[in-house]
Amino acid sequence: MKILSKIAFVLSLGMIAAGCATTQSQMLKTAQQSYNQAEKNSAITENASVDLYEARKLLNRAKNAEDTEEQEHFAYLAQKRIELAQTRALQAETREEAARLQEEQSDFSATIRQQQIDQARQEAQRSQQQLRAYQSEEQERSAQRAQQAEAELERLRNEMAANKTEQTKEGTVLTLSEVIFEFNKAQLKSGAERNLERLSDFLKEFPERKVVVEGFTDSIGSNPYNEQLSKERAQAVARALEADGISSDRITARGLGEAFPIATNDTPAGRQQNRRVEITILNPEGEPEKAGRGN
Amino acid sequence: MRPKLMHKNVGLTFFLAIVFVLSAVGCASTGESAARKKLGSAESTISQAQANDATQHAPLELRMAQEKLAQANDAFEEDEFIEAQWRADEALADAKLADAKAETVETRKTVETLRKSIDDLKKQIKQQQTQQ
Repeated sequence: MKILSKIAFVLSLGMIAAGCATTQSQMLKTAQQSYNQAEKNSAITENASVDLYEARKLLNRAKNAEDTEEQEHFAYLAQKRIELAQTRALQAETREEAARLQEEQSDFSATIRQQQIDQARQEAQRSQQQLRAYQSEEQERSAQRAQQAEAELERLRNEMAANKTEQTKEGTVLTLSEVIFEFNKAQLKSGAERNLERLSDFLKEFPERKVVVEGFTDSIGSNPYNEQLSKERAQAVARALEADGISSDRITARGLGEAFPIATNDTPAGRQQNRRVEITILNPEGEPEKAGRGN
Repeated sequence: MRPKLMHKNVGLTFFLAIVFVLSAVGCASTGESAARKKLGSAESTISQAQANDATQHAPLELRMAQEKLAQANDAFEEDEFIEAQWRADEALADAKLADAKAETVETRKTVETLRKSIDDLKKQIKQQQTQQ
């Protein structure tokens, strides 16, 4: 009997002890479920393992609680810890996504920059091609124009009453005799003006051309007198061209007097030859300072 | 022999009794300071959560933390130090949660901004391509 009662006593003690902990509150059940799910979630086990571990400890304390109040307290803490684990796992994943998107953004930015570079390069190429095409067109045109001018000059040489025509490095030189002037004067005869019209027509058609007009005398008379006369005669030719509409900055007039005789001054025929006007029609890029005899 | 043993037992029991009483007393004072410490932790974590915009981005969790803290303070006033500790621990748990949630909102905004930016860039690329 004593043994039986002892056993009964121990049993009832056990039941009382067990009874305090067996009734699981809803809070604990919920927390346990949350934990079970969280354990299976790889994002959580990878990124928030510490929180999960702490949650498990809290769950155990809840299960071993002495009364409902303590159980609910630790179950609550466990549940919140699990939610914290979930939040931290989500945070880690979102951060990774942000990092990936950051890279993607950089890649796209780089693509755009590259596109812009390529486009700019293409445009530059197109511009260059256009420029080259234009340049070769220009060259074509220049060549054609030069040919035309040559043909015109040929005609001019034939039509103008020139004693001589000559090609020099600087251009075409027409030599006009002094008969175009009144005797011993710097005044042009009327026929001469018409003659010079042919020259001014050429100069109007080819506005890029310049002329150098140089007057010469024979050796009779003083140097100063001859220089003055030759200069006035060159200027008379220049003025005639200007009157025809050729602008003065295309015309250079010089008087060289007795210098540069082309024949002997000992005979009348020779002296007559020396008394002359030389008109140099410059080549397209010709410089007046370098043309003629008196440069 | 027997009398000596009995003497030892009495001494031991007396010693244990004193220790018990002392620790019981000590328990009460460490309970109060522990509660005070936990209240402090909960308060500062709530402040931190508010600084991270939890008021806007995790209002529910923040509210719960504040309510638990109020309950903890009430318990503390009543000298219910164990209860105060528990409520304070719960407040702390809620506050940490509120703080963490507020952070995720920020990060998600960043993701959205990046997504939109990438969309714009894609459109720009398409436009440029058709211009060529």
